[in-house]
Amino acid sequence: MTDPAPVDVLIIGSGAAGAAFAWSMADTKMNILCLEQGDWVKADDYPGVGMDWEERQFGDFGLSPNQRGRREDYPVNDSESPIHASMFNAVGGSTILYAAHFPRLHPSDFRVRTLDGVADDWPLDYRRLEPYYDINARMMGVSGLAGDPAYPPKELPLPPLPLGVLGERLADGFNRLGWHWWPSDSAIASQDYEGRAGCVNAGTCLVGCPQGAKASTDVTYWPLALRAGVRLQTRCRVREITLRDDGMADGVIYYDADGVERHQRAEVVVLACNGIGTPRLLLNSKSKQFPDGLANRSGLVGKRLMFHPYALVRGIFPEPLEGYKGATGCCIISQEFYETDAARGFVRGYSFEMLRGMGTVFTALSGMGSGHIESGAHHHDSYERLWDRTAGMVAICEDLPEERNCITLDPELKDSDGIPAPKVNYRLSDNSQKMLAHCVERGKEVLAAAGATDFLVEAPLGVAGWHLMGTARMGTDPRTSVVNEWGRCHDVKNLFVIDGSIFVTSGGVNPTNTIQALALYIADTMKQNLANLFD
Amino acid sequence: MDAEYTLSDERRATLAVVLDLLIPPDTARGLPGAGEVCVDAIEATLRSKPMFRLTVEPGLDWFGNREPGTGNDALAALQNEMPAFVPTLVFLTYSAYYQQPRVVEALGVEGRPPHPRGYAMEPSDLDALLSKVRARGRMYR
Repeated sequence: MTDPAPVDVLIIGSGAAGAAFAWSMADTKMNILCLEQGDWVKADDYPGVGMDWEERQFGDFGLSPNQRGRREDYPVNDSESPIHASMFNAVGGSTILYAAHFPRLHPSDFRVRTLDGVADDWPLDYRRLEPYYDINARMMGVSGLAGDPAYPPKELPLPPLPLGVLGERLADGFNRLGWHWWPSDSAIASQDYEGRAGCVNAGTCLVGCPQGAKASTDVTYWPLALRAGVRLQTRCRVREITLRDDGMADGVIYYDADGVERHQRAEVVVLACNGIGTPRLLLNSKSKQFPDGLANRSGLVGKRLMFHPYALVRGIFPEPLEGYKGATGCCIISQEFYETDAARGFVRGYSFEMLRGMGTVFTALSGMGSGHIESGAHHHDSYERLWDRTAGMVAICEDLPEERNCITLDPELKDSDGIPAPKVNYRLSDNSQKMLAHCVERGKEVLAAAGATDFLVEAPLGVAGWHLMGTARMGTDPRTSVVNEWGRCHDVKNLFVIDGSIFVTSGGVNPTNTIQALALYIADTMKQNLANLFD
Repeated sequence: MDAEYTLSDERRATLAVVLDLLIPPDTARGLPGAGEVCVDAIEATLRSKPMFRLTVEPGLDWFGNREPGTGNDALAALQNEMPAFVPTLVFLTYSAYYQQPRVVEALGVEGRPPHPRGYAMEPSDLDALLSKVRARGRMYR
């Protein structure tokens, strides 16, 4: 069997970044191919169409690839991290399971060294990304409300999702304290939009959206990119990037759906594999020219891993809140504690994002874990005190980059194709621990103001390793960064990285919107420089 | 997965008794006992996830061969003698019980999957709710 014909642009990964990039590049009419190790998820495959939808979060639609163990997934050794890696491998990547909370970074996030004396400034700023945030809002179909004083003015194409009884109750708590809150920017269509049906408030977002209201990229960018001529091959797992004698990338070696090894050649290789998958692939692409991993002359590939340390704070309320209705993670956001205040004892800050209540199964299991629900004669009394009476939030803490927090290749663990699995080494910094302690107390304070009488707390939230950033950071200096200010590897000029790996700092918000804005910006910059792309 | 796996009649009968200890019927609330609605579901889980058999089967056999009392006394005896069995079975039971349409309906939710119908929600008066926040003015740097 012969190897496939060479392509102009080869994208690895079809998730948030890969999809946006593919769509943007399609108008060049170049020969563009995307390889994805997962498959399409059909609407009927989503758990939300069955009564067992909550139970399946512990099985085939769990957040952890280690838990799911599907052929499409690769294992992650995260035994040396208090935060465990979450991701999904499919067309659409982790947008299949994300909550679709869709805030932008703040202007200050790009200037943390200048403003607060920590980490590094980004080599670009909010103003540079702003037009791409706007394009992304239209392409993903973002619901929200203009006028948030925590952000520069922005327009969103769809009205906000409903707050519901629960959201109004929490908003009242914030108002009582005089704290900032705002309806969330959500990549969930609040009404029919561009061929997608509007949200029906089913509350199953974290196991995928059969309605298609949630903007996973399999229903947003990909249909348009495919129509424009981009090709997408599923169940293709890339092992390594190959090099020409002159040190330029010449393609990848991958295993196809039948496990057959193939060599796909390309003029340009673009990595969109997330903050764990991208360094894994680079580190597994060793050669005489790059004995420590491809594009790793800085020594920074895999280092400076940033999660967002999360705190989960829920309150128990005296009356029902209809919390099972509505988009799971998209209700209201508070950025009262987002910007640095030295009096708090830590630098940078965090967002509060309100959660809906739990379903019937999660109420039982959560109550069992916390001791609020007992088995036996008093089971129903204890369940009634919890059912539909919880509301709360996650706090998303900015994680500052540290070289000790890193991705390496596990010496023993491998995926089903024999490719070394990534290993996570991560510790919470002192700054993060102080921030977590602060947000737990402030979370309880606002829940109490809203009427909560008891609290459930988990900090850090162990399952919350879903924001994967910083492991191939961007910058202008090849000694201190892996890619330049438009995603091109300093060491290999036809190799680009467009996912969360290139973040310089993490901010205190969900990164997907910024990942996609960066991918669109990089695609635009490449198109403007096609004549001298490799100079 | 072992497609042929089934519980013996004795184990099914014991399972029903133990499940009712964990979640007894509550006629006032219109809630069935777990023994009435969860035996088949838990058997199906044991069929598809064999690792649970390692703790569930010995626990059932221990219980079936003794008379450990009734109600919470029996639960306490089980917990003492078979410490891995009870939390495993509680996890399986809660997962199975709270997805039964009869149970969900008794809790005030329609006994159907969330999709495709979803749930109706009314819009909020955001102008009124947000007036204090708007009055603060610009917050970003």
